[in-house]
Amino acid sequence: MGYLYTQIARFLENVVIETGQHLTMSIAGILFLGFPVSLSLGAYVFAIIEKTGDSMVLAVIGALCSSLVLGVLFALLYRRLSNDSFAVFSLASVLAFDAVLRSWDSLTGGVLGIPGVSRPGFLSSFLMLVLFQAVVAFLFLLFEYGILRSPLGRSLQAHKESKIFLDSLGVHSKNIGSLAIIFASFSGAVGGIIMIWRIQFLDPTFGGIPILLIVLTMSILAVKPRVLWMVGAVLFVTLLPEILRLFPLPSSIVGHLRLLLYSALLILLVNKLSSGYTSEKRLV
Amino acid sequence: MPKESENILTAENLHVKIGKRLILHDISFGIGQGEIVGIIGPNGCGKTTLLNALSGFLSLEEGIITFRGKDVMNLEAHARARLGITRSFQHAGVFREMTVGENLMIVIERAEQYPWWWAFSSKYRRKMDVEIKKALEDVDLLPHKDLIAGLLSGGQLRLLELTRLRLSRGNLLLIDEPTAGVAPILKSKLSEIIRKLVKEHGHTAVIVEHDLKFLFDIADRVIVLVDGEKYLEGIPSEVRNDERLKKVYFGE
Repeated sequence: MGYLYTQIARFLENVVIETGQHLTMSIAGILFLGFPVSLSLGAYVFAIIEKTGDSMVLAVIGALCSSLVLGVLFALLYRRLSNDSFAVFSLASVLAFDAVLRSWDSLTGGVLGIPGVSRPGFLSSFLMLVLFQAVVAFLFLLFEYGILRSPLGRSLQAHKESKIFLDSLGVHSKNIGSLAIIFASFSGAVGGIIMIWRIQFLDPTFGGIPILLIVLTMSILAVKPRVLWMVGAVLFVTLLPEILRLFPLPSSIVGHLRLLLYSALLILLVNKLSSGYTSEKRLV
Repeated sequence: MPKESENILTAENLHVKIGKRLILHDISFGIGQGEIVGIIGPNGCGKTTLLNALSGFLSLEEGIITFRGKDVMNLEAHARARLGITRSFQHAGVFREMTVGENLMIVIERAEQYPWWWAFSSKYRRKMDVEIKKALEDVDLLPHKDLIAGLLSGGQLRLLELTRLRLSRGNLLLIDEPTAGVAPILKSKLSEIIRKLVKEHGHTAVIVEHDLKFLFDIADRVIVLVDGEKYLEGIPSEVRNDERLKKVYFGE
């Protein structure tokens, strides 16, 4: 039962994280690779405030606010940089944040991380935690459904094809992209918090390249502006490594194989589906 | 040429540089309300650059652009579009991965100021549906309403783009090569639509075009650009018979 709950929880956490990425990368075509920083920042801010003995509500608010501030900073950079430069910068921010987490021992616990992160009292049982995650994931999906049917959703789709055409219709493409990035940062932090409530341990590997690869794969798979398509992509990518359980592999290499599997899938998918991600159609 | 006070748009001493190269040099003209002004010239003379500068996609090195008496120099492209300077593009600025209907929806919901939640209201959905159907019927595109726009032919893309321009409620339409890649049979339809936009819907149009017959038939006035400078300006019959034009355009 524990295994099943864990897989459901992983799926729900990925749904929350992917909601923001789906809008930003799959729909709007913005190659925002800095969301692992939001995920990590949200979780660390929560854990640090919680460890100081402050209330859990304050820790959650602090984590969410910090992710919004981070989102605004990313959005400001997005407005000033070209698409390609923004992609590189946001990727570099993952490495920079990792270095900060590893070197700031007194605050983050360095490479050893922060053990024993608590979760709210009403989520003491694993079942309750999964149910709570389901509610959060449902709210995010509902929000995305609303966005996709709204003028903002259509503008995000148009943004992917051409910012120039979108501007010519009187829609400020930079504002549209900025909103998507801020939301992606927020959803990353929420995903980080509910994930840390499950694993109750935090170290610098929490929001690194592995999660980037996983979510990137989901975003490329979920290329259509449909909520169900996105849920299907998350389900597929979450359960994909579980096939490794069918083979009697030593546990020491399973983790590496998992990443290898994502990487191989990513290469295949990028080749097939990603033509619209980086090449803005400059047709003026 | 209309009196300056009647001009909907005035461009004075426009200089545009791309990199170190001066593309437009000291261009001045006015566009009167309800006019159709054609812009012609050899390839690379700066026609599209002029449209880009007017619509805010390129910044000026020097010069002033006023729209309805208001200086629009500091306005970005989206802000100018909201003010009423709308445009089409050389390769049809249609969102090819969206459906034909969605391409119109994105304009109507902004131009008609639908609330953000309109898609959840049956009243607004019906209203939108009626508007889209009517607009597509006018250009014989109704059967393609749910088709991905990228699957339309070149001519149909042009019709869709012009329909979108009409629905955008802009005052000044900057139309870049409307007949590029369009079969002759569709050109008369395009010219009819542009005339209708101006005469019936009260728009003003600036058209960049290489098909001189098409342009001279619908334009009230023509501006000829050569090497980034205004070479000639006049009514079509004057420009058509100008010896200098024959020389620079046809190499006669």
